Amino acid sequence: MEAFWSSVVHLATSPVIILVMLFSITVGIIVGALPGLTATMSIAILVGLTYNLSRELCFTVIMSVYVGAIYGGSITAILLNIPGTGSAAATALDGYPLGVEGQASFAIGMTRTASIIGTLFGLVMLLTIAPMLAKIALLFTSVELALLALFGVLVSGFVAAEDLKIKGWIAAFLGMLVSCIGIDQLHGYFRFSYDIQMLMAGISFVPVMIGVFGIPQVLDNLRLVLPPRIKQTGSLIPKWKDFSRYIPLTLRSGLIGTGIGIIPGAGEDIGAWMAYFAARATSKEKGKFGKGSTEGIIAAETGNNSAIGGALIPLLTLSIPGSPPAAVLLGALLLHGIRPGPMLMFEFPGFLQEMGAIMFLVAILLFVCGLMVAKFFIKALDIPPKILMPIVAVLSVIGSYAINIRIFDVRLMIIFGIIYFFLFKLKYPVAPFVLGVILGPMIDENLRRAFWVHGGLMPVLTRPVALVLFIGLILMGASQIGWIRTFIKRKVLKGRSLRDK
Amino acid sequence: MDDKKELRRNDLIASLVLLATSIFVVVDSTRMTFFVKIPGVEKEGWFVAPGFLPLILGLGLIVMSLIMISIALKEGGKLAFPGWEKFRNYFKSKDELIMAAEIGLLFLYTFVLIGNIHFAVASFIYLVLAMVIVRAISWYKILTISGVVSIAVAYLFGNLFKIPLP
Repeated sequence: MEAFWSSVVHLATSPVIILVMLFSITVGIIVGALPGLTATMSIAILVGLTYNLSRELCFTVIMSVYVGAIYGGSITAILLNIPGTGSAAATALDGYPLGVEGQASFAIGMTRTASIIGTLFGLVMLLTIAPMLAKIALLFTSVELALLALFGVLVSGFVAAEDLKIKGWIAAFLGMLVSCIGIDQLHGYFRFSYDIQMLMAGISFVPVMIGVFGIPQVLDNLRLVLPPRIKQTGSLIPKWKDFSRYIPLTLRSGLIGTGIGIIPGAGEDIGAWMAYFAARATSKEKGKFGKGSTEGIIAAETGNNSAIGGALIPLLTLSIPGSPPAAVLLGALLLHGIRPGPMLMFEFPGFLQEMGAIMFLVAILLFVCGLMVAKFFIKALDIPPKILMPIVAVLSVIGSYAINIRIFDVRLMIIFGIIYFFLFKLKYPVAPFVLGVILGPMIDENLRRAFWVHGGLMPVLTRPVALVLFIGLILMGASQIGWIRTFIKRKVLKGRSLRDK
Repeated sequence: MDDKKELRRNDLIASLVLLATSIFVVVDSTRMTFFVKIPGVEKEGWFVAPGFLPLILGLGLIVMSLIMISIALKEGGKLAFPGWEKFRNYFKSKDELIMAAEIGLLFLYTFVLIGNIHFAVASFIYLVLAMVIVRAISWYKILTISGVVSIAVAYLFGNLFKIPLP
């Protein structure tokens, strides 16, 4: 903890860092509030744009925008019933009715406080659990890492699929396949390159990410018509007595959000929904949910912001991102030469505390920024998507070019973006695809290295953790096979009826 | 219900494309799946070859695309290509035309303009056309916004942040 507080003091006494934080949080809130601009997309663009900055400044910008954007999504959810980000969708259910009742400022104030507490809760969990998890993570060798990464990609496909679970897995497999293009790291063999020089170097994940997140949104939002705005009333600073009665709910939602955040690929959206469902299930005022429940907005906002800290735990200790924005953050870490994983604490001592200190200061400044801009930044919502989205496309071009200085990457970004625009219409989730592209090389290299070291598949499975993960993968696949599901259901029903008798 | 049938019809077409791609991937992967001598093991193994993961992924995709085809057929998807009338109606829809034009414009911007003319000029042309297509605002406002944004972006990133521009 000493290292954490000294990092806090070091960052807090740097005027440049504080100014950059204030600016970036404000940008993050606006980005999050603008429908169509997500935290993931803005971080994906920032990875390219902040490439030349120092490590400290780069992660200050990225984390500030990340936390700001996750909070910012709630504002349009409350004012316009349009969640600025996916993670604010649960907030809209009760936030908008509160806004209609003329309590928009009250709701914005409450969600801001909930977001700050959620972020701090996730941070505490990150600083306390991450070092422990890292010690366990040291037991992981090539095979466990490969299987864990594969598990993460497939769980992400399982969780993120809106239509059929298999679509999530297809997206994940396609992502991993894309990552195979280019020179193979173990044998130096060119895969799927066909003597095309640009393909030989491989496909960089940054343009792919920017394309699949940014371009579908640009194309979709060009047709978006915003509903009329609602006038805010009341105070933007919630009274302590109003908030204090929700502290147990906030802590429970924080725990749920962090827990969901730790699961690879689940992320802030699911964190918010799970916390919301738990609040609804345990509330004494269930009837208020969906009609303007304060509990609903607090649970959802604490859930999504605490998932940030949760998502960073597997990212930093196991190199497995817990959420789509964390997946993009993984890209930023790799670009800056930081290889997250079990050795992070030894290779980059103090980095975890530095990230924690950034998050801590961002959470504190979120209160100031949120308050300062809340009254005014709503005006940014007046920028019609028809003007804003082409500008986003231009920024996406710069972001994808800046990484390797290759026009090929810009074209790749557009191609992947348009392909995913159509896949999106067919309800193929984007998160598993991106996770597949990012984690594909890790799976490929580690799996083959493990086979090389152990001499085959069977010796690999004698390792207990590897065996558990392998069984987990098999069970996850089997759970989606119709006749197996029916068989289990029948067994469960039979067991219940016997117990009832 | 109609929406779901439409989705499954599109799923069916997408699954067939996926199946064809997966077969191609598997065939190409076998070329990369050669036997390699593994230290300490008598027999040579193919599971450390570069084609191992693509082969597994390709086979997995074949299985999944077949499952998708079966689900799509079960849930009402039919392999019926849209008739001339539907095709004509599709292009009569203003939204679809805008989409097609915006996609074409993105290709024009990234494949033709960028790299051949100055980034600020290319971005200005793209911004103007993108806003004109959707009739965002009046033409003089479009020209002003596009001009200001393209110059500001080029200056901010190119000169201030020293980020190379295409």
